[in-house]
Amino acid sequence: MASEATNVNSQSEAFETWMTDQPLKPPCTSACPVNADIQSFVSLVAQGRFKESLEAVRERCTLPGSLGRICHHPCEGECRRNDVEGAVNIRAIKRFASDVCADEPLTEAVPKTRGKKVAVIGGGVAGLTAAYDLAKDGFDVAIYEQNDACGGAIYTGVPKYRLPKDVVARDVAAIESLGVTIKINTAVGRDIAFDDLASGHDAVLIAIGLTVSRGIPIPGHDASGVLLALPFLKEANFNDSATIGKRVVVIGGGNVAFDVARSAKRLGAEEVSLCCLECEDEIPAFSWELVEAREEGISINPSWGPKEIKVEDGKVAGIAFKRCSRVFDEKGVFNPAYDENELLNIEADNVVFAIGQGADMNGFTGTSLEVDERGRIKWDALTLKTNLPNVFACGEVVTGPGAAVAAMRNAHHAATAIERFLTTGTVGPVVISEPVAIGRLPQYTIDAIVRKEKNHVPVIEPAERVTSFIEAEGGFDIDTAIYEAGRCMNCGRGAEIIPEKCAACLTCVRVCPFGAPYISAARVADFDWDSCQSCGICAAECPGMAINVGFNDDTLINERIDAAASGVTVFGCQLGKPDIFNPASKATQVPPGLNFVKMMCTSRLDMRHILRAIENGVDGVAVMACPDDKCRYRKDVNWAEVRANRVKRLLDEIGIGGDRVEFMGSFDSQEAAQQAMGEFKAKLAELGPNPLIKVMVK
Amino acid sequence: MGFKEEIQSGNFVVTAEVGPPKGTDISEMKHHIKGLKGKVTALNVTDNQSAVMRICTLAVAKEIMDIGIEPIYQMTCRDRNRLGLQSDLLGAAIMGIKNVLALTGDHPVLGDHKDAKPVFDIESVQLLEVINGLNEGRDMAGLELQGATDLFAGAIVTPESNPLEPQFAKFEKKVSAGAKFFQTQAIYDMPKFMKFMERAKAHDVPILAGILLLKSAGMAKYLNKFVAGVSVPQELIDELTPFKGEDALKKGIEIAGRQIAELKEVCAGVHVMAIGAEDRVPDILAAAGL
Amino acid sequence: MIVAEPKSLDEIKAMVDAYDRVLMVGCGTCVEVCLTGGERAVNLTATALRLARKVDGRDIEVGEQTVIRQCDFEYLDEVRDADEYQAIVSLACGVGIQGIARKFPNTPVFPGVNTTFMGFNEEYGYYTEMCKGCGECILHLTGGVCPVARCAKSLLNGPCGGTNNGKCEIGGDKDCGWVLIYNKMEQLGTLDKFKEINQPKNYGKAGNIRSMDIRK
Repeated sequence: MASEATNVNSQSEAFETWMTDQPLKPPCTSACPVNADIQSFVSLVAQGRFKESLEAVRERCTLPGSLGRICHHPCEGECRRNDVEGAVNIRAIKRFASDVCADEPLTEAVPKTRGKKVAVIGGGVAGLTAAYDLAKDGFDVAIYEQNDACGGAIYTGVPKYRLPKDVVARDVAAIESLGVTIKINTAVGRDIAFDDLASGHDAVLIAIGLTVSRGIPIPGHDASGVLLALPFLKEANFNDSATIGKRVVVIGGGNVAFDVARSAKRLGAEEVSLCCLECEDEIPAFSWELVEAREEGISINPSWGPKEIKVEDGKVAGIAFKRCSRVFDEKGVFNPAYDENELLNIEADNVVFAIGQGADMNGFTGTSLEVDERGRIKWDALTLKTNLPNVFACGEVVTGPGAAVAAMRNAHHAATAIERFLTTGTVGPVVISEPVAIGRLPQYTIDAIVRKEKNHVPVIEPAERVTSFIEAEGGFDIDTAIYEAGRCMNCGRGAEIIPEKCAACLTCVRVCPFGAPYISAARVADFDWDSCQSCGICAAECPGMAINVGFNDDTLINERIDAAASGVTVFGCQLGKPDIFNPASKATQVPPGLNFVKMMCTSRLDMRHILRAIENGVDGVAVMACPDDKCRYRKDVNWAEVRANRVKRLLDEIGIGGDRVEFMGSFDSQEAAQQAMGEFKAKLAELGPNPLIKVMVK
Repeated sequence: MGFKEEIQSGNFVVTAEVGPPKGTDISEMKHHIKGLKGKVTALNVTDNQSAVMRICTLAVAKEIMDIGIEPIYQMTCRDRNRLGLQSDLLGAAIMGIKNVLALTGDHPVLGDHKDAKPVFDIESVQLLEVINGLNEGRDMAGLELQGATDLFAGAIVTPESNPLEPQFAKFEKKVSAGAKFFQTQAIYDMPKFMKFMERAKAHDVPILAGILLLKSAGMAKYLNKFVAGVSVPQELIDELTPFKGEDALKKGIEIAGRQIAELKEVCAGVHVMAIGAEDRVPDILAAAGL
Repeated sequence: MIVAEPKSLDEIKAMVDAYDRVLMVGCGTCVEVCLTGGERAVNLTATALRLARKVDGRDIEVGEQTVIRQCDFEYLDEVRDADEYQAIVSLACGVGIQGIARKFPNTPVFPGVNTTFMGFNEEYGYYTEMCKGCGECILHLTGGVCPVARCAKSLLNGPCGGTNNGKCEIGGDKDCGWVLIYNKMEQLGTLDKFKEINQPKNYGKAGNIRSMDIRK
């Protein structure tokens, strides 16, 4: 399965096929709420194919730049590299793919071949995701967004120090370029009637999110200086003259509460206290928020419930909390219990409620959309349909609050439902494949894997970063991104047997350094994907050509070989020292007339690859391989060298001459590499052009 | 007394060997043989020794008999199958050849016809049994002969073989198969040989110690490197090193004579191998005081 | 299994010199296991042949197929389009090559390999001769070590005088089969059997256009 093949489009069928045809998925994909093909996009970065990587990310994770900064990366938690030295820094790689391609031209519009129109109400994470899927399928999609730009919560709510707004704009532009019409400053109800939308489109998707901050009607809640989270965050994001008092208390323990607290700090508050019902272990915000907030001097006070806001002269002077002894009852239901005798008083200039958000259903009152007595849309979670025949809903407005990537997941399902509805006229449960992850690495495989320490992104020091809304976290440079991506072990992309070609000769079992191949009960070879590192040593040795290796397969490599019919072709490891003949590294120049065919490891290099290059007409082939102590894959045998030598002997027999192939190993510096290539080219000049050329010209 | 009688009456016997030429010019060969007349009890004829093609043993044995020496007909199993071997044994018998040395034979790859098919239909142990059978008037197929043979069969043993145990087991097999005398491969390690003779004594079969004339230090080194079962000690190489040509040869003769003198007491005789210097065998015997 | 080694490219080239359309057929059993005649070998040899002919300024079309075995007619039936070729080069063992020749009696069939021996796969890429197919197995008499295959002279009462520190006189660091037998029988405690004289072999069983018929 070539890497391009994993560029599954959002058509649910293709995605379902990918999800089901390989029974075991990498743990990262399994853990990802949108089941992104993480391993593919990481590998594409490792190969220097950044644009392709970005498009691969965008297939499932529709807002790569944004999610590359805010996603809570459950993938990393399950990454099997955790068992070696540390998870692959997937989020940083995703961010890199978006950042490095920021100036690339946008994708061309997708022809609207389906003849159906879809209205998406709400241009937030869910709405954008569904619009992307449907536009790719050829539908005519229009987003109706009440703000002056799309993004929703990540545009208005998430602070700039976490997610700069130009990054959001970048992600939105990539979706718009597919041909999605975006109508900003257009609120349903106020600017356009919902029923008109429903009748004027073949399908409607409601994805308005939760935009109304909730408060608590405790005494003093209506004093001046009492703020609500979402309006406060919007101010902090867009009003350059926004200010806040010196002492701020934030009520709430979710991510929004922390966004508020950390934004308040940046607006100049000297004392920021965050108080929440939950005890430390129960605090729902992401764990790193607590760490970073504390670094920034915010005090976190768990297990306190708001009792009363102290008001003086109509303004907030302070707030009293009562001890919360328990948040959830025995049934696990939200049912806090308090001890009124234990109190906490904090002096404050501002109190911000960050205790949750609700939906703004004003635009739908009096319409045909059925809403329950609590203001929730009547919605079937399996079909994603409302009461109306062509109206669907997705995202937080119906699922309740959750992470951005969870909203994306729901939006993908909605797009599937709408696509089916518009194609067949039927509505049914959206089939959700939950992938089964491959198992943990066996100890003998862990022991065999070469250690490569994890890279972290740079973060501005707390003292400096709180002084402004500058983005606190940086990204990888090219070489680091490639190196980090190279740490991916390609789990679930292992070798596959073509059983009818297998003679159970045991070659794969013998040459694998990781203990992955075995002879199954069916008496043919099979591969334990818990161990397989997809290096391809076995595939290049198998006498029956019975092994395919994931994305590292021949089709792809042959395409790259066929790019040259003259000059020198170099086979090298894509994971080698980044600055040596790495065309993707802006630090190097690849000499002209050199076709650099990279593969994950040159242990994969097949004799047939070298012969193909020669048959195409190249004058010479150089084979590179990382030094013994650096190679991630081979043990004891330098396969690239062995195969180069075999080809040399064969070329002597053929009469073309083995001199045209040279095993060069590795180089410590760009200069050394250039010199060796120069000498090789000089030798080839003496040998003359490939003797097949004159035959081919005939 | 013939060879068999000499050996069986316990007299010290001396044998030597002659290697036939590759070709029909046997003048030099006859000259060497003549030189040994009266000096040896019997004379071995080698059979395409070292797998180098030469005149067949039967024809050379006849030449030896014509000159008046008793031949020991060396028969290897390399070149002939069981029909050929039996056939040649009958032929040897009617020609008056009395003594046969049963050998397996060197592998063709060691010789000058490396591509030849190695026969080895039977080997030395089985050949000894075959000779027994022919002596008893029946061939290998069990068929009655029209006239039996009366061949005195011997075999070889390599006392300096390493490891020794398999070789010794083979020696014992040869004794059970009917070997009536043994000639050894070249001896240099005296203590080892003495130990071997101690063990061999139990089998009560005459053993002739093999004495190989060293013509130079170079030859000694060559033997060590290329000839199995022969190991010339460093002391002897050192003894030879100062000498060249005729002087080295003289030294070798002296060494050989010394060896024979040392071994005389423990063995039934000596088998002197002086390849390409057959005319010097008398000198060796003289040096040995025989 | 049966071990075969590749013929030199020069030899194969000479065999097909008169032809421009040749089918190369590999075998997916023994020769694939010893890395000589499977699909990979077919591809490499066919490519090499094509390139070698190009160097000579000529073309050759080499079809590539591999069937599971070439010693059963049912599997030989899987060879496709043989009539579109002028000659066939088979990378199977001698049995398979003849199988193809029998299957396509009007097409010249050439051997692309030399079938060598029946051997043991010691480790990746290394095979040692273990059996000569003599038809009269005496492994029970020799401690499980075959004197026919592992003694250069196939002696039944060895070792010969050429044995040299456990190695055979033919050189090449080959083990003396009879020293192996001796050591094995010593390990098994059956040295008393070692001293028994093994009778001459029935070479009729080792040849004479053999067949096995168990149809009744």
